[in-house]
Amino acid sequence: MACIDRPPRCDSGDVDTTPITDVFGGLGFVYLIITVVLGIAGFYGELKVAGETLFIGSTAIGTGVVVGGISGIISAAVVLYTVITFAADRCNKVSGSRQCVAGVISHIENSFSSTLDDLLPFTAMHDRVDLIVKSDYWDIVESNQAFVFCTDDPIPRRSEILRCYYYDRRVCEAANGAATGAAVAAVPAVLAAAAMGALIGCTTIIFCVLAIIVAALVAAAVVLAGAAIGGHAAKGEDQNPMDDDGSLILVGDLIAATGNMLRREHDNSANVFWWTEATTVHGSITDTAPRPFSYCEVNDELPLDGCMLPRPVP
Amino acid sequence: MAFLLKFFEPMSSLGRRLGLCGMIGAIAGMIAGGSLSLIDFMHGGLAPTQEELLYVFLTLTVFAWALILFILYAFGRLRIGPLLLPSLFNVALVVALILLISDMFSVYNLAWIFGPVIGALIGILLCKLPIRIFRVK
Repeated sequence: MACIDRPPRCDSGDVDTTPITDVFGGLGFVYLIITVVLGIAGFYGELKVAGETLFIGSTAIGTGVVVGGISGIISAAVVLYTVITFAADRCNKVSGSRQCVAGVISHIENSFSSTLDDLLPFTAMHDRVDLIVKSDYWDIVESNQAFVFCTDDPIPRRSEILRCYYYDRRVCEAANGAATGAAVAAVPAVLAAAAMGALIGCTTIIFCVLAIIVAALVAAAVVLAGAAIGGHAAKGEDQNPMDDDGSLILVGDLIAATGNMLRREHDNSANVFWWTEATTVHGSITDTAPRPFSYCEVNDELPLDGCMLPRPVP
Repeated sequence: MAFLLKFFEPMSSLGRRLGLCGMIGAIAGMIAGGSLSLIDFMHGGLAPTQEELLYVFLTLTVFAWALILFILYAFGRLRIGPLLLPSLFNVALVVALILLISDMFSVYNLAWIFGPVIGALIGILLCKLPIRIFRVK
């Protein structure tokens, strides 16, 4: 069987901007709310500035405190929103279609494998197995007009990759713990920001800019620290992706995987297994198989893979 | 939690339409425009000197750039090496233009409105230029 005539439908690897879009959404919303509230209060004459004092009705507050407080509220709210968004993304089981695919594992990205995962545990992702699928399953990978990840090999060896996520409860625990930690830290963060504003003051434009920046940084740092502490406290023991018999799966393993397949924005809107429900290892690819792996060898080495689920109509 | 996130969805979908370049410009515009309007309000009308303008430009540019790089790296998990110069150029241009317009027409009080708009436009335009250094892609 080896390589086939039909080329894979690969997409160019544009950067995935979904997490940044989420941050932008939070920043834009908070910015809008704050400016609308200030605009309305100013319009009705509730806000008046005299020297270095702001009068809200009959209450007097130092301008440094106000500048620091507003900057702190925006900064803390955006960080808190971002942490909550990550938690929602990591822990939501979205229903998709049940599919079975088979192929060779080309790469495994374990959860909590980078320094950033340790510093900001809510950004950690579930264990990801990149599976070079047999050409029999390309229709599944390409279904729903999804983005398709491919290897860099030239055609005809170029192969389609399906990302299979394995649920790691630590990721979810860390994300939820971080959201709680960030929420708890939000109030002290704003108070600290207001205190920094008061300390620096807003007597000149130079001090005012400095107060805004320092207050924003302080608030963000306090909320992030709360998220980091909460995330670490909630995170449990280490756990790597395993097959149905409880054995670790490795790069080069020939597997059949069944899972809940959906198009995921955070993966360039590609179809992924979110999450993989069952994995059967059918051995390893032969040592003589060329690297990087290609579907051509997998087609030959795994003719019977045990996938019995109906395929989508192309 | 899902209920809370629905409030932010309109802005997130606007972000998707703007693309990465537009979002970087708009964030820089929010930081610069929002800060200038806030300071203008606290001082009852800003009339900065040339030195103060330069200071504000440098400070806001560095702050906005650092913040954007942090967002791209920590939250977006992007390799920031190739984004360093294009994002700096984007942010510096946005901050400079907002300061220029605010100062020229004495409209610091409106900078919070036109800041993000100018930022988004500059960002989108820069990414359409066929010059690699300007393109955050």
